Amino acid sequence: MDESNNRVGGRVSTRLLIYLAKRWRLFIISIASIIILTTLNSLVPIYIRDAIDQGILMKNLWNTIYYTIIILGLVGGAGVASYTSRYFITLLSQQVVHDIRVDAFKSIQRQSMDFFDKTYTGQLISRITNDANRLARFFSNRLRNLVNSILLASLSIYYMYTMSPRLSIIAAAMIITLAIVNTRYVMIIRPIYDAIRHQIGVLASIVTNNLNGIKTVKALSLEEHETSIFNKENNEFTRMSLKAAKIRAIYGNISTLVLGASISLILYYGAYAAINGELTIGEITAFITYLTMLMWPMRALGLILGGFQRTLASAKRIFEIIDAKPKIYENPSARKLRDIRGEILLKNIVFSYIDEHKVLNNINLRIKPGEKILITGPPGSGKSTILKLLMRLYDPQSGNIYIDGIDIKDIKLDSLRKFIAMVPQEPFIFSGTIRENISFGADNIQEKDIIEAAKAAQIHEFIMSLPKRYDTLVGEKGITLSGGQRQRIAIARALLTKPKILLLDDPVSNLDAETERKLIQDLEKIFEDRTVIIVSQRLSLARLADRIIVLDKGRIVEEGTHNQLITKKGLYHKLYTTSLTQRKILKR
Amino acid sequence: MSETAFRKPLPLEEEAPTTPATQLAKRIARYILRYKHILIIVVASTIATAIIGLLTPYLLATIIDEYITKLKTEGLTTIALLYLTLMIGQWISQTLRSYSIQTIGQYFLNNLRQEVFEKLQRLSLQFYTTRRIGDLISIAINDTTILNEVLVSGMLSIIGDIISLAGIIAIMIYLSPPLAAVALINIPLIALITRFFGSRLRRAYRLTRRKIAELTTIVEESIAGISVIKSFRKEEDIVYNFSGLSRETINAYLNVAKLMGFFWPLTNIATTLSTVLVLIIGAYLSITGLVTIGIVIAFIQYVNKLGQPITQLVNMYDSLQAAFAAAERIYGILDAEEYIKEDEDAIELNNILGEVKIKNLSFSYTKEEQVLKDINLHINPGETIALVGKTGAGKTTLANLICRFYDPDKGTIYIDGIDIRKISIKSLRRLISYVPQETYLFPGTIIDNIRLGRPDAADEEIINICKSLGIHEFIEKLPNGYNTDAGEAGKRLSTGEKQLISIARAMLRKPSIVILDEALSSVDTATEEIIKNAIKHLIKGRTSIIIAHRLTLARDADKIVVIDGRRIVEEGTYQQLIDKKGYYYKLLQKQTIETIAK
Repeated sequence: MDESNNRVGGRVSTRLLIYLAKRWRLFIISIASIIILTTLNSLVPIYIRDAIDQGILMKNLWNTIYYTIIILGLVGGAGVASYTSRYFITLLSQQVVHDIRVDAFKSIQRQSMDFFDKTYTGQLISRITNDANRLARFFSNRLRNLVNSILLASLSIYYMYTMSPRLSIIAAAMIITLAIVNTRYVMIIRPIYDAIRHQIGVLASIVTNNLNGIKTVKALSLEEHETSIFNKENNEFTRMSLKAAKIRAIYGNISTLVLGASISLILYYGAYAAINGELTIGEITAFITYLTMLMWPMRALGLILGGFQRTLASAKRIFEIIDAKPKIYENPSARKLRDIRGEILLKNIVFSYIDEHKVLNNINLRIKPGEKILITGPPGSGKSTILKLLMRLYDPQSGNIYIDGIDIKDIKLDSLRKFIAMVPQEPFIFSGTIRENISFGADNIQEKDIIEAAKAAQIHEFIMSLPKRYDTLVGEKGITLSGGQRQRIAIARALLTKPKILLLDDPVSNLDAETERKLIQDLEKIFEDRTVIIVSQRLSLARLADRIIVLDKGRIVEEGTHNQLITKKGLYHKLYTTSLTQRKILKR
Repeated sequence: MSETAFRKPLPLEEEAPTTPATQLAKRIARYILRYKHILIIVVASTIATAIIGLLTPYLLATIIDEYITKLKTEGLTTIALLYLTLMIGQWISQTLRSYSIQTIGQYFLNNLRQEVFEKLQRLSLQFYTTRRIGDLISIAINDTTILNEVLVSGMLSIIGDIISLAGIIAIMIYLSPPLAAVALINIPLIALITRFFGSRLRRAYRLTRRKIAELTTIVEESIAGISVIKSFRKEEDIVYNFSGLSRETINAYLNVAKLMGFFWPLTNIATTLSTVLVLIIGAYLSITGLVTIGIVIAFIQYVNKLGQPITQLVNMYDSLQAAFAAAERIYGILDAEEYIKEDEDAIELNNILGEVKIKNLSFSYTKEEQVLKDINLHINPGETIALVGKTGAGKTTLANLICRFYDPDKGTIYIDGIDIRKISIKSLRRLISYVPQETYLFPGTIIDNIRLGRPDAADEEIINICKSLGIHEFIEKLPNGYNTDAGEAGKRLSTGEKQLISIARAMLRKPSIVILDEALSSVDTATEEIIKNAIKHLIKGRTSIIIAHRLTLARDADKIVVIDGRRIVEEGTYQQLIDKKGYYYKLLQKQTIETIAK
């Protein structure tokens, strides 16, 4: 287990190094400036020593001034190096993370639909934002601190050794203790902080659900019930926070104790050594300054060592996305289509989404160019799935789909989707203006085309009634559209691409009777010169169709014109009569 | 809405609070004073920390001046041990201090969040019509956190910092006024530097957060709309957008780096300047014999202790405004009017006949628009009435008023002859079960969701109820039956199907009156039958008001009430209204127009 983890860790580190190597210039500048920064800083206590020993103790004011000017120079130089290192290491880390993030995003865009059925959106988002940020933090602050603390510790010990080998052992012991304690601290507190963060999420989701369902809460008098749930989690949050506070109070201040003990020892032995003439007052001061100076770098070192596993874990999660292989890809020999007639042939199609359950079971269907087909059937009969297969959002388990006689697997995806447009049942509206949403799929579009498409989709009037018309913001940042309005925008969106094959998934499901009637009227015009497949339970669309296909449990059970199917008195007839109950009631 | 709650664009400037800060501070102080015992530990440990912090450099000076310089070894062990004891004391007092401050802060936070949540439960729906849920969540979670971090834990720490600062300054002046004068030069410098960079850094940080939020939005939308993107071959465009935004993120972080790149070296230089001046002036003074060398070295220690509290203080000043704004938002909720209040001597009703009488009722959500006007309606016990009318006619509003989600502007509603404002809200809502059009599913399983109707109901009882309603098979057909995750089920169920859960919830409550907002939209005929059946079972033997959108449901009602233009315009049985050929007939006709046209 551990071994395999290490191997994975090794692979992940190698890949990170490859990303880093691509920006090797920035890397070298960054590391060099950190080395300069640390070296300059490490010299300061030495010159404080000299200012004391050569200046104050020798009663030589000029020496003091001389050395203090050197100190100022060192600190000034360190300032410049600090700025440089901070700038370049941020640039480096952000560039590297940008590369990783874009690679991950590209990979997401490449994935086929099955990937999204399996993966939670929240997880993907968290990987691209949180995990990427953690990497960025690692490459900037952490990397900087790592170099800084190790180098500073080594240089300090070296200088202390030159002053007093014996006392430098105390210093070295302190440094090692601090590094261990701080690493342990980070490793203990991290999981608690994670739990706290998770608990905040729990609280937020309780509040969110409670407020979204506030009417239900009130209607069912659940106020007390809800409050007790909230209190329970709120108390749990407090318990966790106090636990973290305790650990932080003890461990977080332990550095003070270690430092205090070390300084006490150094004072004790140092004082004896000074009295014996082996050490100067300036040197004792330098020792104390070094030890104090090392407090923060050692804390940072703990943070890095304690957090290294997590960084690798973050990187691993992102690389998983980058490495995911899309199920749907183009054949190497896939070709581009110039134009199509719009003939569709489905041959022995079998398809299931996840498990064994066959959504489509041996579908055979030939659709002539320009033919209008209505596919109907009870819910779950596999109607919409056919449309998704035609768009090649999924590939069938077996069987083939041909467009104009060419297997769609041999057509470039881009080219295939150029000629086919689909209006899904619950279309997605991007946050942006209505205009942007309608013109989403098309290139080089003129205003009049957009309006024409909107008119055809029966949404123009509504848009014109909005204060900012086509520039009205919709989606997350703007107004909320009803299901029917979204559908009609999606229809306009599809029409604008002038597709040869138009696929409509229940285009009237969310419309009121009046709009439905108007839309059906207009659809007739829209359908001209196109192959059209409509999927719907609403049989009001039947009159638009040349042929009706009835699907049940993944199989085609009936096929024919409206009149043929009615006289056949099969499933279609049954569906038709139930949908007409209302009419009969009224007639009575 | 829930998912977007935490991603609203962050403003680059904080909004300024309008309530005087002193008033808010007093309120918070009153809370903190509840924890007197812990507060004593805070004060004691804070003072101890500050004093020890002052003593250690002084002890160092003593060792140098009295022992090293005078070459005296006698008593050196004692003083070194004293030094060690002080350092241990400092560790203990620091530990106590940070733990006790955190404890007060966490207790405060716990209390405040609970109060906010309880208040949110008491507030009437009127309150919610004018608020965005995302904002309320942010107040309950984020603002309370800010308030604790800045005004409670933050403030208590800052007080310690101020004490330390004052102590250091005092002891410096006591030890050597001229040396103190030059040593303290870093205070104004650091204050200025922090002041200058503080707000700029904060803004720069906020920009990075905003960029990350924008990145999140792109990722989220691109996944939610992935099939559209693929269908329209927009993958590359989206990647291009993302990459552009990602680059902007780089710049945002670089901005922070530049500011930090100036800020830290500058504060460092300011402190070094003090140290250097202490060395030079100290050298001069010690050469002339005015101070000892030990004092000079102690001063160097003191100077190093000054930097941190000043930075903290100035930063605190910067975050105060945001914290007071948060406090104002929190108290805005806590002080909000509750509107629907229980009468002090409200009656507990246990058993009722279920007679409903509405008298001269008028209601408006906002001043401009009246929704209901002069409604009079009498429903006999056990009677079923159907409310019909166009969308927005006020049907749901009437239901809301009977459940007392709102109080009418004028007129009264009586149940069994008692004004509902005189009935305790809890018993009123126990007797009336409201089945809304949109069923809200809480996290948990389907059975948990049904149980919300009566939280103490056993599984068996729930299953029996579902069987009696004829929805048992429907639930069993879900992937995990009764244990199907509601969130997962919510995605695949239609509004109508979800209403079955609401109906079961209502049934579990054994109400006397049922108000049902029918949701038969977009279900297939088989499910429609299930729903209709369940409704029939639920209303059997109960007074019921059904808001009927698909008019077929109205047919079976004892009486149909048509609302139009804020008033009741027609009332009668199905046959009466059909024969009358009035509003109802027209509505019915319009709804089936498309079928007839065929």
